[in-house]
Amino acid sequence: MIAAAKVKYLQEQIARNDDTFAYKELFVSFYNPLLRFAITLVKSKEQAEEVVSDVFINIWEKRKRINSISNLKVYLFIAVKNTSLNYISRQNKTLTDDVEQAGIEFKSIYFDPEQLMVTAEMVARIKDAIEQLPPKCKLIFKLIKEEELKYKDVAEILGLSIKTVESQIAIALKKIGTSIDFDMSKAIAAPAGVPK
Amino acid sequence: MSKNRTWELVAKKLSGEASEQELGELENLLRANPEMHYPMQTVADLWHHTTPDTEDAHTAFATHAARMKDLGMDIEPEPDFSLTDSSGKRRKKYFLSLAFIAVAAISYYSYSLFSVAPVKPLAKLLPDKSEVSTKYGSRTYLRLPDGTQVWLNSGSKISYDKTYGLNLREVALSGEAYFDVIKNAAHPFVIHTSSINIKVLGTAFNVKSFPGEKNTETSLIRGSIEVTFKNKPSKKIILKPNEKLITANDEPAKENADSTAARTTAPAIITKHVTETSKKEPLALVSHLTYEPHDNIVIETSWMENKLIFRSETFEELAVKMERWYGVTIRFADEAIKPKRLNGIFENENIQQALKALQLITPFTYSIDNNEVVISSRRG
Repeated sequence: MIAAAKVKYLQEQIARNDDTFAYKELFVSFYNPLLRFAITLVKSKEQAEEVVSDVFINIWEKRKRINSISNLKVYLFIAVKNTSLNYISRQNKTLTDDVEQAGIEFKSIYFDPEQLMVTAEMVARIKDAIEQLPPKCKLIFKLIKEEELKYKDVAEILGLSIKTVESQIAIALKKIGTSIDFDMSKAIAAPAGVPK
Repeated sequence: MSKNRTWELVAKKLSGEASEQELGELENLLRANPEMHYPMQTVADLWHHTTPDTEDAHTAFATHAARMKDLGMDIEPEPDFSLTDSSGKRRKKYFLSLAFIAVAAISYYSYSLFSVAPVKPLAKLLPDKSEVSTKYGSRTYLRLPDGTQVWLNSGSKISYDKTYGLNLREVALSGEAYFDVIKNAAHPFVIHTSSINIKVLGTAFNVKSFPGEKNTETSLIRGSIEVTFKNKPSKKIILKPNEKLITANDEPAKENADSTAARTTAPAIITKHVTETSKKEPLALVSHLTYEPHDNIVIETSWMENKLIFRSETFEELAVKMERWYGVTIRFADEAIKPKRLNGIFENENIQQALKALQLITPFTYSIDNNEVVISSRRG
């Protein structure tokens, strides 16, 4: 993802000079990650596009003050989360203020089976293991792996402790790893039972 | 139990959150449980598949801009560029790209009619000399008039003058910077350091050339660059991606006042007068870039990600880097600890946390007074 020093620079250009060029660069750099995040929450691409656009309109309106934001990347993710939850609340006519309450939906976590040196059966097994992950666990895994966010950033975005992020990501990897482990032991010691 | 811990450590390693200690712990755990090696490797492979961007962000921005226009906010960026002048303030917006195309077109089609005249108004717009510098402890990013991106590490300075881009795109660098140069074969990009000149057509690379340091390092990420030597103009080295050129700097000569005045139109290049000394060291050495083993970061450019990575460096060498990084001065109370070799990464640590972390690797005591750090080897 975009280097921290560059984000800081763009942020300053926007705040001090109303730099539309920098604004566009910021938008383009974060569009795909923020859109993916919004889709998991609002579950509709059109809605997610509007959420991201709303967040950036807000940035432009508040541009004189954005210099005081210490981590703009985390700020953008939190803004997308809050805007998405507001949208869901309006939609359901009930207050939704937690990502778990909103329900999280994924297409899937991305990986390219052709690049993995494994059998088709194992690819299915890995996919299955990812699918079976609890939603919160999957979301954390996704944010850290796909959006390359730091543990502490994810903790801040989702309102969790760093410890929780740490254990959830370990659970995700363990589940995926175990699905492979299982296959291996079966292949080597065919008649043996399912190892625990 | 150890399995859970192993996966916790694997996750930390893959996401770049693991400390040196934790990496060591993971290695031991894997050695004790060799059957975990295969699943771990597969998970690691899977982890490194980057998600392809499905949406065209530029198209999305056009839609977004149209939406804002409907709301009364016109933000369609003009084709301008940003420029910082010597006083650090940004000048007004220029329409350089447009002006430049116009100038180029005019001079191409009717050179005889206009002679050099069209260039004038353009040159007038620009400050005579633009200089951007960073203090110790801070890093910055800037865009040159042609869109070339520069990341400037701490304690560094880059300057260029109003002739930038007219013929050559010339900049002078003291310190360390990463360049992502816009391709333009008609206007080669040239960097002048105290000892070498680097000529570029369009590429990304890192240059480290601090005054007072023994060597200048040029690390090429992509593209191709040509390096010539101030004191040996006939010698030329072409670098390929992933290669790093280490060149010996001249003896830290004092810059004469008259040499600065010698050329006013070109950037402040100090033309040192050269004496062929009987240096025994080789003039230049080509080696390869170093990758951080667990997450493939190129160590030479890690400072751009706000990481200070050091590999088998003596405490004395590290201290120089830490001075620049944290904006402090570091003094050794005695010699004993200076040659101690150290490995590690600093990212979000402040100077105190960094020193505390170093104490875990090697015993020493330190005191901080204002911005001065004094390090001494522990007695007894």
